[in-house]
Amino acid sequence: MRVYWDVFLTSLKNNFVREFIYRSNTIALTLADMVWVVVEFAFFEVIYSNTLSINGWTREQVFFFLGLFIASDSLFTTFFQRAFWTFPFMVNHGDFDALLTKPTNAVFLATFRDINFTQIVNLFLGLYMVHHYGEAAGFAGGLAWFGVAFWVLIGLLTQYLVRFFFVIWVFWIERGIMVSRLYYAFYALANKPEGLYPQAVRYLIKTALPFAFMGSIPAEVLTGRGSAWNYALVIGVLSLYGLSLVFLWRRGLRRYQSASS
Amino acid sequence: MSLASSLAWHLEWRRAAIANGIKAALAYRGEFFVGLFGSAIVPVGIQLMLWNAIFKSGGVESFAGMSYPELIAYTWTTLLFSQIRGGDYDFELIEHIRTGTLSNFLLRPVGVVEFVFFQGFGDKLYTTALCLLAGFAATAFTKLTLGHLLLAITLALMGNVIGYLFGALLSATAFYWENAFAVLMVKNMVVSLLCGEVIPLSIVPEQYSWVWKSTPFYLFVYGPTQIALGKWELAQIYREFGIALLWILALLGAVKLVWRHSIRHYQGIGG
Amino acid sequence: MSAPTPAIRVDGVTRSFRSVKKEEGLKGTLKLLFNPEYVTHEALKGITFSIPPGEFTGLIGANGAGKTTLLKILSGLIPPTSGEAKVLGFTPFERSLEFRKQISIVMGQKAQLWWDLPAIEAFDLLRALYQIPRDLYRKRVEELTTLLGVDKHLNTQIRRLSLGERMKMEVIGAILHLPRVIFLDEPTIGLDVLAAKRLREFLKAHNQKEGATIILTSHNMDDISELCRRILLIKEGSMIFDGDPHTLMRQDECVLRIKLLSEPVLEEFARKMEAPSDRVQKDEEDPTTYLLTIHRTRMTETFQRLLAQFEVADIGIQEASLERVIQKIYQN
Repeated sequence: MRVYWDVFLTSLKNNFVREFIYRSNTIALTLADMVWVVVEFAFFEVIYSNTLSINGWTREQVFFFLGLFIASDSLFTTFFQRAFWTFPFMVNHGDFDALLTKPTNAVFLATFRDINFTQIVNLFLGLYMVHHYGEAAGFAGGLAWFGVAFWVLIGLLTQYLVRFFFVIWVFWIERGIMVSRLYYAFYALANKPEGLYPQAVRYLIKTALPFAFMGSIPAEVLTGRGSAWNYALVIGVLSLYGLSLVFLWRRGLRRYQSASS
Repeated sequence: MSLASSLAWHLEWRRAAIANGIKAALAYRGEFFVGLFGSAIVPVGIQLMLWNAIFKSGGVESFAGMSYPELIAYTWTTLLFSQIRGGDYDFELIEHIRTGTLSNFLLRPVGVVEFVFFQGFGDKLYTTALCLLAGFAATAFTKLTLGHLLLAITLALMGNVIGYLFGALLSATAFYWENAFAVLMVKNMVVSLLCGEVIPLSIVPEQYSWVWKSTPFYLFVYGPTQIALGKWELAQIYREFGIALLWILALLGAVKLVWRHSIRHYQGIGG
Repeated sequence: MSAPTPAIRVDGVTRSFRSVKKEEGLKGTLKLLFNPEYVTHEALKGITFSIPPGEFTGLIGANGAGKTTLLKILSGLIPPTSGEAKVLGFTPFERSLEFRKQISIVMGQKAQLWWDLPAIEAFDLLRALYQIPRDLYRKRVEELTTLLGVDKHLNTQIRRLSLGERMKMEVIGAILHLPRVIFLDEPTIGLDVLAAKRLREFLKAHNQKEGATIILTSHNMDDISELCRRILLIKEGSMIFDGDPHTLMRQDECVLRIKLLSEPVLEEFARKMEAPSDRVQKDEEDPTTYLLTIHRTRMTETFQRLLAQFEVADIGIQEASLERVIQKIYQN
């Protein structure tokens, strides 16, 4: 365990060094990440300047949702996004080999390589939105903040698993980057509250593509609109994702090894 | 070189660059369709669901002065133009500067800004042809006329040029910062909101409308969509074309000036 | 006294790859879907050898001969199809933690160090990965970078280094944890003569000092002849030579380089010298020069005949370089 902690800290430091080398870009990137929040915010602001509620979601509830979504998304982007983005290239170019010969778990090394600090600002922006719109949205505050922490981590885990599921096919498909891109096409479903969608899409984002776990369900549960079933659903779906990933990873490695020459 | 042969050469390398771009687009058809799915079909689908949710649940008759059919028509029509804008080939400029492959261009008798543009533009011409076909089909069962379609597509192409020149101008930051892709990311995000492909810019509250009116980005999707929907009078169409042309000229001048100045900071890494 | 336990033991290892045959066009794609046709390619056809600890061994073969496949099997990246490979007593493909801690692989074509970082930071990650004690780590980095003359580049971003400096950093990164077995795949590729020489000297010294077992593949025969006391020559997946490269060069044949005042066609030259046609050829670099391969015992006789038949402008004995010897073995 100490090895992992040491490797993690060293990666953290190295990423910091890298960001410092390209500091102007890093500052611009932080700005870009904040602009993204502003764009998301502005979008709903424009919509709600013309209507009071969408399918029962008030402006405050949507911004509360957005805050939760941005917080968990920022954690994912900070710690995993770049590693997942480069993973298909690594496998295609054979750089994955070097990773397999290192005396540390390969999944850990493959997904924890590249940390992007600039996004951490968004975590605070997101949490600020949760705080700011919480009361009007029906959020109790106080001890319920533990609930926020719990759901933000569930959101992070969800995105990790789903993203992994989209990238793992690179072991079988030569241009696996396409599947990876497909993920971003679907990811557009994540940053709107489920109230927007027709029934079929709502089922989809709670089961096969459980993006609702990153914002909609947390927002509903935390504002007293959810039920205990939500927990069962989350545990069930994420376990299934986890199990199939373990299975696919093992098969994938075998496949990688038999195809590599 | 005689004038004629010089002209022929000027045309020839540009034609070759465009042809190259078209070939690349055809070679990666799989990627092309995944890209189309991600950048066109899903966003439009989400938009349609949103309008549906607002009108169905809110029971409203109109939204910022637009009726449900109008919003739906707007959203569908943006599809014809949203794929023509962008292309992200300005990112290539930054990569060339950062990795030092810019050196290859500096030794050739063609300008790198122009070369990268034409190569990327080839890819866009392929997309444009598809959009033109789709638009042509749409004239059969919508109010879209062929004249409006051609004007709108032309404006969208001019928008693509403006977008690229804007990116090329910002790319020069890479000479100073080395790594400057974040600047282009900021630009892309601002463009995605202000070009009008997500929401019709006319629903932006009046007091904020100066924001989108002061950038050229509305000419990328919102403008062509307005033309296609017949919302703009001929006089306004002329005026907007004039504005687009002015932006192109101004940006061309700015790119030339800024690149000539900042290329002195080029480090030529590599080897 | 019994022989020491080998560091690497390979016993009848074969490796085949199955790939789908893809025909062109839509028809080919559909066929791929419903009735795929497989092609099996045998990359290794029963390789056997063993290497005692501390030996520096060269692995030679043309592109596609199976060298990299063998290195991948030995480093545990892929399993053999049949046969057995043992490295330090481990089965590589199990990739046990203990095994991975004791080996290292350098691929000349691939960078393992993070390009956007200065080398010193990239090394620090390796320190964490291999849990090298900090003081030992610092000492080693200083020692190794000084030896290779890259100590002043430690704080330079790796992408800003020249190819030679970069490769030196890669090698240092690979041996920081003092692996007992090192696989070097083309470490001098693309390097200039001086940089390659320095790297070779370094590798030799490291091998002698630390006693690591090293397997090196290279197309640069200077690497092989200066470093390896033993070479394994692989051709189309089979081992065709295993032994000391220098015995290869000390064989009892030699090649004469002959320049004549007249320039007869090759056939005429061969006929007059009474030499079989496979023993004469023209020098590829200098077509006015004839190359004649003879047995050393026939030297006098050959000279007499040559002087009797032709007007000789120049004559010399060609050094038998390892490269030529291997080329010869390879070609027949």
